[in-house]
Amino acid sequence: MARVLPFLDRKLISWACWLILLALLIALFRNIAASSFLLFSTYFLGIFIEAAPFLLLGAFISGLLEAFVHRDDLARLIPTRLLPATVMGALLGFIFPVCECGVVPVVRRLFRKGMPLSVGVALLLAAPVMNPVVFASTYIAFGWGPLLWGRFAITFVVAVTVGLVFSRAQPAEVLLHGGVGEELSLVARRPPWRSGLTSAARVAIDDFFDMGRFLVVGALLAAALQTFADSRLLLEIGQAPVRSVFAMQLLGYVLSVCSTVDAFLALSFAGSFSSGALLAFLTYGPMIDIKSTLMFSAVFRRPVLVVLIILPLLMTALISIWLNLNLALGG
Amino acid sequence: MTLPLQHTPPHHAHHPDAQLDGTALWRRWLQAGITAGLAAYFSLDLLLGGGFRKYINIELEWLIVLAAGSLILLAIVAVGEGSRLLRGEESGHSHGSLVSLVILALPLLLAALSPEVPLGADAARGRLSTSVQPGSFSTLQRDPRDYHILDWLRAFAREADLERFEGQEANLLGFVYREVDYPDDLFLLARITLSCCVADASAVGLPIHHPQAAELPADQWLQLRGRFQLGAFGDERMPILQVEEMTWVEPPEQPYLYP
Repeated sequence: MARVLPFLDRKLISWACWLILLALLIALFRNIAASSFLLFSTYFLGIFIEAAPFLLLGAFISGLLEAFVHRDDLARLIPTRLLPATVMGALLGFIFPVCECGVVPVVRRLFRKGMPLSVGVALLLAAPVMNPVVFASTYIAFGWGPLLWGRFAITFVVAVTVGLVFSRAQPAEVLLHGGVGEELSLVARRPPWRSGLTSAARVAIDDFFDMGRFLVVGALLAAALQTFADSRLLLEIGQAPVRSVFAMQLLGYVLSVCSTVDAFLALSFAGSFSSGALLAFLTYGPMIDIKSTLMFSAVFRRPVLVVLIILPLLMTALISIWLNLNLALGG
Repeated sequence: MTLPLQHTPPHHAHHPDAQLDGTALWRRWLQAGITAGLAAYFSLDLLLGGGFRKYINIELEWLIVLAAGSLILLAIVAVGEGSRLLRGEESGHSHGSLVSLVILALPLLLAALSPEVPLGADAARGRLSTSVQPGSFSTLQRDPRDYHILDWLRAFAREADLERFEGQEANLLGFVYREVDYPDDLFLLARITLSCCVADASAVGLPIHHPQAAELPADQWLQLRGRFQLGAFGDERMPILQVEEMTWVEPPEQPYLYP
């Protein structure tokens, strides 16, 4: 059957349903109000245009890893002890400056190269914040202060902790296809630069399309929420020490703004929101949002996906609420 | 505690006949076509045509340069792959399922379907404010006649005594925004503000007094000259611009303000 009708598999049917739903929505928009459709389309293109460069960067890094890093190299570079390895995973973002769109193809590639789960998960959660670009933008927005250090410290702690949680799990239980990818290393151990770069570009293009569909669908959802949901409702919660934290986490999840620039967005909330809430926004938003949830679903099994969303949510919320209740941080 | 590296069984063989059927070939070419389309959209429309200013902060232009360059490179590689496949040389892994190809074509489709109009009154609804934080940005060095809407709102926020703005001259550019409960002689001249891309857009507006305010079409861009006079906007007391000269203008090249 599958050979006769290669297009008819379950995955494809579910995607087709999504597309039909989307087409219906578009048709609905056009009938209800052309202006809503225009607004939706502008939001969508804005999010896509801003995120696509980072996804491309991630796809290229993934391609270079595929072409030039052998799994033995990885085994040699990663510490054998659990804690140092996981800590290294959380800090690797400073070497691979990628944000939440770019890190997913990179981590997926590293998993296929045999990277341990705890290291990969820590990298996945930390890299969107733990990188020089985000450090610079947060510094420009908030200067040296508790928000800058808090952002990096909380992200580090959460990423390492969640990474450690995964240390006991088997890759086959966690990753789709048991993490076993099509290792493309048909090339020699150290390919010559020219053929290495060509095969890197080949991998990059496939990764871009593979991950890009999740980016597009995520951007569609985020744009729909932007068009029809009223963010004022969230903003009214403002200073309440507990509710403000969850409100900003929800906002970060829904807006799906790239981590390299979200500090400026947080700055615009600085007057009306508690500092804990800002920290929750600056730490949870980059780790998990609509876009990355969809992109994670190409890497992890469904139940693991839920853990990856909920655990950082609770951890960043608890830390932020504790800070709100016990310390008066200067915004 | 030591960490076992994952052990991977020898890699999957692809279905040997998957590459023989024609679908692999035209998928490759479709992939090349969509990549080329995206490359053209980013480089010609967004970058050279300046369209990116309607979607992201102009400071982030380098992102578009990066994306356009990468996409052009990928398009060249994809075309190369396609022709290798055409010549019957093995092209390794042929991915790009039909679905992901179709989905990646969606941005092109939407970009083609919808005119490039900057966000305006519709986007401002529900997220417009007439007061802002003073901000760290200094407006002191500049001539107040060059202030834009956001500069004025910051100046109002910084000044305890609003009387000082009485009679102050202002030149403003923005679009018309009204809500149903405004008095007939009042509208807001608004600008969209964003820090990164349209996803984080909000809006600021200054109340303007004009006898025909109710008849002005929403979203119409205006260049105004006038003087402030303290008055009531809702239950708030704030400087309201009394229009002396009004010109209808086209939306500017750079429609947003960056706080």
